[in-house]
Amino acid sequence: MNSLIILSITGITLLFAGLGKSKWVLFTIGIAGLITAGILTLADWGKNEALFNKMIIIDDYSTAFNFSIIFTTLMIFLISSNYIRNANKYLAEIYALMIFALIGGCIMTSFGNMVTLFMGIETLSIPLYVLAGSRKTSIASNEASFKYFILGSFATAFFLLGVALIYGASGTFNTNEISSYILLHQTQIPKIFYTGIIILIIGLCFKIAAIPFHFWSPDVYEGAPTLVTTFMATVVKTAGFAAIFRLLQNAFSNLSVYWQTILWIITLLTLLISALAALNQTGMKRLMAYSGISNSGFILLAVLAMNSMSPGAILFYTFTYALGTIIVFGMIMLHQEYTGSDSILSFEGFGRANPVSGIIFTLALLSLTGIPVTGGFFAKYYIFLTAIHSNFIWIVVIGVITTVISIYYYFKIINALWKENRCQKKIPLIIPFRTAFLICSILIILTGIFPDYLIRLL
Amino acid sequence: MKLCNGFSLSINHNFITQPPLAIPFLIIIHELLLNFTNFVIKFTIMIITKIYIPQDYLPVIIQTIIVFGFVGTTILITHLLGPNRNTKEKLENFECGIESFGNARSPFSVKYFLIAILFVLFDVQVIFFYPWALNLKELGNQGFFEMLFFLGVLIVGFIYIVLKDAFKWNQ
Repeated sequence: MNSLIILSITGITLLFAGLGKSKWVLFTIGIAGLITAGILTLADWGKNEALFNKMIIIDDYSTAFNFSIIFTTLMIFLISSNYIRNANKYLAEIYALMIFALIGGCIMTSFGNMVTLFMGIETLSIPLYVLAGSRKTSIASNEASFKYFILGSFATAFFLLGVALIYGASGTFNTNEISSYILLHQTQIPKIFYTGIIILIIGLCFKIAAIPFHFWSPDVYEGAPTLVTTFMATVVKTAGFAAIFRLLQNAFSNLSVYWQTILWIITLLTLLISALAALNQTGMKRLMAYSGISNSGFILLAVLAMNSMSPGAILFYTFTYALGTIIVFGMIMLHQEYTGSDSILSFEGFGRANPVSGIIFTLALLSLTGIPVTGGFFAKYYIFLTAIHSNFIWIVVIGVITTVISIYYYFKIINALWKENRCQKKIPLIIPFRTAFLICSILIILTGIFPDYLIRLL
Repeated sequence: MKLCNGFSLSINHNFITQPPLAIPFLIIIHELLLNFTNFVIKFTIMIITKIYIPQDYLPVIIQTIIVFGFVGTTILITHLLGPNRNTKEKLENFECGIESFGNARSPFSVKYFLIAILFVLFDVQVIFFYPWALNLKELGNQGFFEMLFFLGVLIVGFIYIVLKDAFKWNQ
């Protein structure tokens, strides 16, 4: 809770600091605020309290996810330093909006009431609509922003309708009270309640870009500035999954037989279609968008399973996925700055020209694929284990098959990285970049060697 | 004036001289009214007792069909029956009889939108004040300071707007 206050103050301070000339002041304020918020979040560990008439509930689940997204944002701030070199005119606003979106994410992980959840989703989404269009002169960026805004508000309307229907049936917004309502009225739950659950799931699946609600994702990922894309692929996804799992577990776990069928189909489609669609992509950002959708499918497996192992598996997966994604997008950002292109072909020889960056890039891609010694392997392992514990065998088989397919498109990039190409130049890394890459790659290896410490938290 | 008088007179005249035509109409109207009152009474009973069966929604469906059917048939009939003679002058945009020129889709500055959006923000804030002012005594000290905090946040935003030169139109 204290971290939310600190983050709000940081955001407002950033806005005012933007009126000055120095860009590094902004950077320092942002980093300091995020570190303070992270420490305060860690101090909440072990607490179990309900605030504002049970609208916000702080427990280990929310604390762990909050720390995860604050840490991710910190890493994104570190790799944002090349925005500073390019002297972006609206840097303060970009930073501040990112912090405000992060506050929305923190609310989404710790809601106890569907109104708070709605508020969190909106606080997360509205800054993102603006951020997606933050490169004002680029048509692609404007298109991304507009598309995201129109489709996002549509999904929000769906979500609200779902909340309204559930309120109409049960007479409460509180997730635990909805759960007890289901237990008390098992035989006589009205039809609008079931409709409400479906519409709620549709609204939330849009935010995490699950197929068939994914159409915005590749276009927005490609059009938005790479920094914003990184934020969308990591923080938004983590917060979205934390929210969807918390909602389904706290409110609707007694009706799991009913919604598991729907989620099963969504998961199946997400796993299959995204893997097949990613095969033919030539642009890195578009490929990463499909990879993100595919990863959504894997995390949905743990949501679908809904047992005591799920929270740990989701936390582990989102965390390792965020680490890998940050490195990949950081590299794309650097590369784009020097060559102006993000196609896979333009990466040929990148690894030979910059051996250290190449090795880190390869490590991140291996982690995303799920090769042992990296965190990605255990992430996928625990996800499959969780699903098998709830007797979802066939969908796990599909999941393993899509993992095998995913090797093709991830290794296509690795192949391009280490090809012989004399045209590539050495790209210097500035210190914040180095720090972010170092921390992320060390954590990828550490989570691969000692996964128990993270998985046992929840 | 003359037309109006003549119109009203002719109706009276018809009514007096030709009673066989008017009486069936009156009967139909009477029955419709009776049916309508009957329906209203049924409907009120339905609402009070809260018993709905699917057949009760039949009038709504019929109404919908009539509405869309009327629109559809009118459009269809006018297209089928009306003569269709298009000339160049007829298809042109009509603007007070002056000949049109150029393209209407030219960019123009919309600086006013910023002021409009900011106005909406502070307008909504005023709406919050009314219920607060009514309940000020019951809310006590806590309510007072909560509102002060809310205002403080708004003022910070206002200062930011001013410092960002949002009110300087000529830049």
